[in-house]
Amino acid sequence: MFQAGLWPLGRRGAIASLLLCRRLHCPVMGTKVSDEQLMLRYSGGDADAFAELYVRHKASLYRYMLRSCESQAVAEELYQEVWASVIQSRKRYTDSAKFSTWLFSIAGNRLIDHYRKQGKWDAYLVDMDEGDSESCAVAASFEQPEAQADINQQMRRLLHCLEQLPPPQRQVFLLREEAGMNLQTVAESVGIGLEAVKSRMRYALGKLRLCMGGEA
Amino acid sequence: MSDPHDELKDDVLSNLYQRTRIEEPPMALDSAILSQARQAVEKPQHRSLWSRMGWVAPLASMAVVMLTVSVVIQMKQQHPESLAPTLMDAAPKQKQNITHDAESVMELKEEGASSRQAAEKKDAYAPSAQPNVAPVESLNEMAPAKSLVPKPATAPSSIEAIPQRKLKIQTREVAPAGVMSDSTSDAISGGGADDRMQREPEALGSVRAKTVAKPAAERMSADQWLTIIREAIQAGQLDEAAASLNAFKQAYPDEPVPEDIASALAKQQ
Repeated sequence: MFQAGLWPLGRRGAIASLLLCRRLHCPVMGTKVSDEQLMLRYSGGDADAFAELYVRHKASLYRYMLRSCESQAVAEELYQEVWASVIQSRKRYTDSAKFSTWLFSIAGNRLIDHYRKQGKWDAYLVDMDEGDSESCAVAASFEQPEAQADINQQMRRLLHCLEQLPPPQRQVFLLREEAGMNLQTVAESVGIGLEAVKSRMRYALGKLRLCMGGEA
Repeated sequence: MSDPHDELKDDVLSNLYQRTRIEEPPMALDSAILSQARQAVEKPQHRSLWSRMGWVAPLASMAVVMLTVSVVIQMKQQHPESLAPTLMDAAPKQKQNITHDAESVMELKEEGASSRQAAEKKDAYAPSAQPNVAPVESLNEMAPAKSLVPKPATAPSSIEAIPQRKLKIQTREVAPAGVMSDSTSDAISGGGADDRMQREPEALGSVRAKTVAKPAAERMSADQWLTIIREAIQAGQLDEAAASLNAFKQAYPDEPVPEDIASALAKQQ
């Protein structure tokens, strides 16, 4: 696709563009530099590699922090701290794990530290252990609205309901929706077992459906 | 990759949530993070201390120079003599001492003249009708003063010598010719009393000045002493000059007597 777009530039223009893209690590000829390679390059001193890496993951990480914190200011502060940790840990990074997993694990740990400072994290875990089976049974599903006005209203409602979730449940939901992780990867990122992740996800979905007005 | 745990996936909620993913970090935050990342990998440039300090170093240097200049200027204004060599001050100080002595002689002369005037006024108010009698009596009481003989020893009070000298002179005026009181000064020798009496009123000031100058003469050098003797000779006070010369010879036996003084006094004799 990229090659097809170069023909209007002529031969010299195409070569210059290719060289520039190679310098900027653009996806050329169907290849794409992986996140792990970019991170390794950055650990070697390539600042441009970090810039590319940042562009790829900045939005998802920002929303993950924004949905997990009580205010935008706190979210931006923790967001900057996460990237600072990435920068400081660049020489310790190895490509044994995916970069996104590593990145969101740093973010998750930072959030847990934030919750524990507020004394909320442990309380949330206790509440989850007591079980929310009732909410899961009642809100089995809810129908997606078709009208746009209703869609916007539902979006706002969903975000509101997401804020009402306990942080541990919200975390697993966001990691799957924002970072695109499967439950196994979520488990690795959060540092808990797969079953614990399933439990949290089940509770999260049940509460969201109930909050959205789903019917059994 | 399909999730093996799809039963836990709610497509409605997932699709709805995907619509909400519109937020992005602010550009300022992006810039800060990217600059931080770039600075972390940039190699530190080896810069000299002067270049690293930037504008601070020249400003500090200028401040030091200005401070030093101001301190030096202030020191010169407060202590200008501190920079002058000490040897240069020695010669002027010696000259100052000599001039000081000469000035003190002149001051004593003036004091003698003023005290003589005060004593004359005092005599004018004396209870005795013959003002000359009182002086005689007081003169007998008083010890003879050798006022014309400047002594190199400690200086007596010049003020004390003035009334003594005055009294002696007045005694000479009253006493008949040839009659000399024992109380008269030892310096007064020889005849010519009438001549002395005639010249005395005019020379009273100078004689008394010389008398007053005794304390200063005692500090005077030989040259100054000889100068005073010359002045006395020029004033016609040969007896006094001769007495003074005798005293000079006693005080400065090694000093030669100038020929003019010796010839003048030889003629007088």
